[in-house]
Amino acid sequence: MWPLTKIEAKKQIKDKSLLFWTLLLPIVTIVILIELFSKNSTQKTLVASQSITGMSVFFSTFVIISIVISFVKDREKGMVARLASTPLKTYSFFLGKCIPFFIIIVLQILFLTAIGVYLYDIQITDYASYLIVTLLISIWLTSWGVAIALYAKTENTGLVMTNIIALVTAVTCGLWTPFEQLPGYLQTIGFILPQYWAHQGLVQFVSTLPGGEGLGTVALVLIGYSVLGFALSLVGYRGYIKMARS
Amino acid sequence: MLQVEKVSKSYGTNKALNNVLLTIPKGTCYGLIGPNGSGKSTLIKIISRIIRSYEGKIKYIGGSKGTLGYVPQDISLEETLTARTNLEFFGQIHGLKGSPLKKKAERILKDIGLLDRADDIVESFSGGMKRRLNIGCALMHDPELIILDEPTVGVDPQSRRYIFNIVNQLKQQEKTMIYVSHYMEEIENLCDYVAFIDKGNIVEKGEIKELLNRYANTAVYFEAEDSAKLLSKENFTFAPYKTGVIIQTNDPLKTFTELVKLSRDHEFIPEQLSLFKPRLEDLFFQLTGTDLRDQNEKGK
Repeated sequence: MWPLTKIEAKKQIKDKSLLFWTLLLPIVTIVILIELFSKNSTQKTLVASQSITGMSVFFSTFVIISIVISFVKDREKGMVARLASTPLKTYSFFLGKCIPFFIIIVLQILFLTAIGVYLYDIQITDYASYLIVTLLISIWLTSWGVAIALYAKTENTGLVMTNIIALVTAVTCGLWTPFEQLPGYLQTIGFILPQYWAHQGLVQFVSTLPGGEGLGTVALVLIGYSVLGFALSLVGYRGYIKMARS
Repeated sequence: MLQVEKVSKSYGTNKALNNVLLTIPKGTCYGLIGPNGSGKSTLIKIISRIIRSYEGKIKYIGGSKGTLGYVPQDISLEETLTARTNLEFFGQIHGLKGSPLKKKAERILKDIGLLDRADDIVESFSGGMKRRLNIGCALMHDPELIILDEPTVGVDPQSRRYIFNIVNQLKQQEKTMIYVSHYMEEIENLCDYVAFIDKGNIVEKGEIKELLNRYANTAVYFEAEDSAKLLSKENFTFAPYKTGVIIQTNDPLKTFTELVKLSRDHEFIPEQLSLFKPRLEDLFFQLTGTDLRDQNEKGK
């Protein structure tokens, strides 16, 4: 499993588009938002708190695109079939491929948060809990990424699905604008989506932002959505393997 | 040794393999030939344990899964990474690490002629270089059984020659190989045994030399101006072949005599009169019935 994790990580590190989606674009967006909507340092911290937590959840969704591309390419190029002739177990294949993406999401959120802490004076009240929420977000998004990848016929499927998920949830879950300022019907939709809980989970531990949801509820919701992702993956994996080996 | 015992595989109502029986002796190169859709890919995927649901048995005598090296028809490499990283990855999958892994990768790079490009990105390689690396990755764990699925598709003559050298080296090391190719002269030159597969059935198999001998003395090749017209008049049964004709016979010497007499009577010297020695390609068409169908169509 670890050789696969290593090679997948090397591949992703070399992927410039991943660097763009996970770091460059989020940083640029955050800086623009802060500069546009704040006039003094207090406002800057407030806007930074909202935009960094919101954009962390919003942009981490785009890792799904890389997950789909990686799985679809491996299937199409015959890598999955080739690896089936080696001692590598099927579960090791999936785990080996997932781990780098899980780490990428965690690092992305932590990096964006570090910018907020060091440049804009965001106050994190409980780093351990903040990290737990980050890990849960990463598990949930990886599970969704794999689920989409296993059903995707082409790389474009991943691109379209991810954009739909990212944009719809950004609008409805308060990732771009504070949730309290959204119309009631959007709040109702947002309330049932994991992005809302992921965001509120992070907000809970940022003292410079009002609101947030308790860690227990957030964990429960994110674990639930992760289980859904893994269950869908389990159903889809046979089809994926069959298609790859035929 | 590898034994394929009554292996069958169906896709819905379509039977891809039907009771396939094969014995691949240790240390030999076994060619597998068949038209597209004949079932050869299914068979090698079963042998490589890529397809695991089938009827019958595959017995790896004196070997295990760890000693199997599969070279797929697709170039299944991580193309954004270097040749060395790819080789080391496949070595690691089979449990190699540390200094033995590095040394093995170095040796394989040398064997496949990519030592000077070891740290270059695979994307920058030519088709032939990628094919050689594709083979190299399957050799990292020193497998006993190597399955090569059309390893020379789309490669330049230099790379093809290099691939032949690799196969010959493996033969010298007494590795057991299954070599699938549409290029029959490759099978003829590289392999010791061959199996022809058509519509999921093995239609002929055996030692190549023996098969060629068995089919060789049954026909005479005759080439002359208007040979077909001439032979028709004399009531010979023949089939057009290349620029002449083939006359099927149980007594080639008698046929030779008759054709010499015919030439004398009509006062000409044949351009070619010889015992017909079929190549694998001829056997293939005979066995899969394509020649017969073509002749029937011409006869009509």
